[in-house]
Amino acid sequence: MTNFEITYQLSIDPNGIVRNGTPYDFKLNPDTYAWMAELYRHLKIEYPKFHKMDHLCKLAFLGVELLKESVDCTSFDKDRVALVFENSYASLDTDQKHQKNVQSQKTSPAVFVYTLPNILMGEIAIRNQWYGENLFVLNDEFDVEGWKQTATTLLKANKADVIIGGWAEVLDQHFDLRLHMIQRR
Amino acid sequence: MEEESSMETKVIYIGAENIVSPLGNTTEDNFEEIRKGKSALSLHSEDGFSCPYGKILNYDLLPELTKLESLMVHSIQSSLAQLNRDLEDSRTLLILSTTKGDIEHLAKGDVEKSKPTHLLEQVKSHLALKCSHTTISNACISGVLACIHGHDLIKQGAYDHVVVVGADLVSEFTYRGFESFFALSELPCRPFDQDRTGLSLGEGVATVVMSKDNRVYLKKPLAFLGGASANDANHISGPSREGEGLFRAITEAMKQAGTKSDQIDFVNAHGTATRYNDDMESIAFHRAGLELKAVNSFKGYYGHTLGAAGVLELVLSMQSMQNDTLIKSLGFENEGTAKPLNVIADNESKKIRTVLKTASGFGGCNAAAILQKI
Amino acid sequence: MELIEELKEKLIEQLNLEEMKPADIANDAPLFGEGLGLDSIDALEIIVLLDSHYGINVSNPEEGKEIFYSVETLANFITKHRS
Repeated sequence: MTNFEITYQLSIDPNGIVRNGTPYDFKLNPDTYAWMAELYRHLKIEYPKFHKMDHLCKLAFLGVELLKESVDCTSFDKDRVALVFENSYASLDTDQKHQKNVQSQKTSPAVFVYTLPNILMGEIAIRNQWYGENLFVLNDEFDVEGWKQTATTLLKANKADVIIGGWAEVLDQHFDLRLHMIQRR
Repeated sequence: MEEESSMETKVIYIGAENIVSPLGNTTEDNFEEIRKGKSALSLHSEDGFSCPYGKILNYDLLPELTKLESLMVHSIQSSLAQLNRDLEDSRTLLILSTTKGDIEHLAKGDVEKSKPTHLLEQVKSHLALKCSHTTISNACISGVLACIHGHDLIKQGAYDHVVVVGADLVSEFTYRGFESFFALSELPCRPFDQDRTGLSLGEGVATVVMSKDNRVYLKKPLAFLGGASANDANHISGPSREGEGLFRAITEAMKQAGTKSDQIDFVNAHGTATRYNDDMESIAFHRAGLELKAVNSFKGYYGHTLGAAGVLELVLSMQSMQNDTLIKSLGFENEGTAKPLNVIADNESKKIRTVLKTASGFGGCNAAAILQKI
Repeated sequence: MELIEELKEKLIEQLNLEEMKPADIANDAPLFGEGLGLDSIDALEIIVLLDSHYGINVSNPEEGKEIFYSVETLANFITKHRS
């Protein structure tokens, strides 16, 4: 299985951002999610749709934006970039908000639409015009080897050239992104 | 990639299928009911819902298990009973396909029990299954995607057998959400019809067993040739006007399966009966050269069973193949999609060898898979 | 034209238009497409807003197209139907 290797790693959690083993120069205060908009501004992104996303989508979206800072993704074939993400709480962070809305008879369509975990891949696909494969998997814990095995099925089946994905979890104040990219050697 | 091709298995089989739905607890009962034109969709005002949906009322609630867990246990047991031996734990993967699992727990504030992974663990433990497991939650394409992933895993030698169970119920959570999108139809949904006014929701659980070994099945299985998924890269809730993702998914699925569009005998579409979805599908099918193919949607019988839909509809497509019968697309009367389609208006006997199954969902995702008689 | 100013603030809040200020929204600029760039989910949220803040019930998103053209058309509609 040496044909495919992880060529990029990024983590975002309450301790900060680490890119390919090196701390990224951005201080985040994990007590609130204000850091997400701060990081968005820090990265000088102009994409107003960002502010409509839920925290899970914002987390994954920002991870991919950071990746694009250090990797030139413009040369990728847009049909051959696959997204494979995983977590354990699915979209339960936003599900709780929708459930509260339902119980108070104030259902918001803009909240409901985020009650599916794979929406984060939709947001990334739209932002980057990536038409490739999508796969959202739920497991209790992140095991990078297990994720890699799942993700590389798409490379072995020759459905993609690049896989971007990993672990993206948000629940209440807890957030954890482990973003990886796998390419053919 | 020498080391991989040597491990590749040629044919991946799919069979031992089961459906648990308002129309019955076996595949045969379900197929018989839809052949008679019976729909699961009806009003259940006792739930406070004004739009009809498919509700499972007759089932055995197992001790300590929820309704969904009980239905899943029944469905998986029924599938495994159609095998002539136990599958080796170390070579078997169980995949749950669901969008919301037991989300009813959330109304009581129980986040842990609301996790789909909890649902799967409950069921596995009740059935004392020791194999590996995972869950795919990819909106309305989850079921088709789980089977495609299962196919790829077996083909690449990661597992010998994959059991896919699709499961979802109708809850206040999903009903109110779709209602806020003005997506629900006040009458049973009418896929592809000119007067369609939206979708109907439905409850269902369905199971299939995929394997590299056709000897595990008591009844003759079919071949799952392969499939693919693609994103519209357009909008998170509205489908692409040009059917971009679905067209790409179909094209790649054909490539994966080594099938040409003229070999397809019928297309089982997603057909939710929303204005935009059915128009989008008609455009994608035209682009893929499938405009003359017989096409149907099973949503008029069951409603949209979300995470179960892909598996449930694959099973009904498999039954259509085994019985060489094209099943009419219930609710369809008059042509009314952006591009004309050859929608099946009446049941018809026809030799069916190769079938294309498609699905599309929120997040802009689309999937297509191809089945064939051996 | 207090209603217009109020609407602009409510839209910015309800639709998470974080980078916009009321002054950025012209009274007659199209809200959807080329103008403010709102989409179908925003249209649904405006329906929710009309219901919760003004007690106006729009039961078919299709009829929203002309009503939701701009802040001005929206304000006219509210003035006419406010209970």
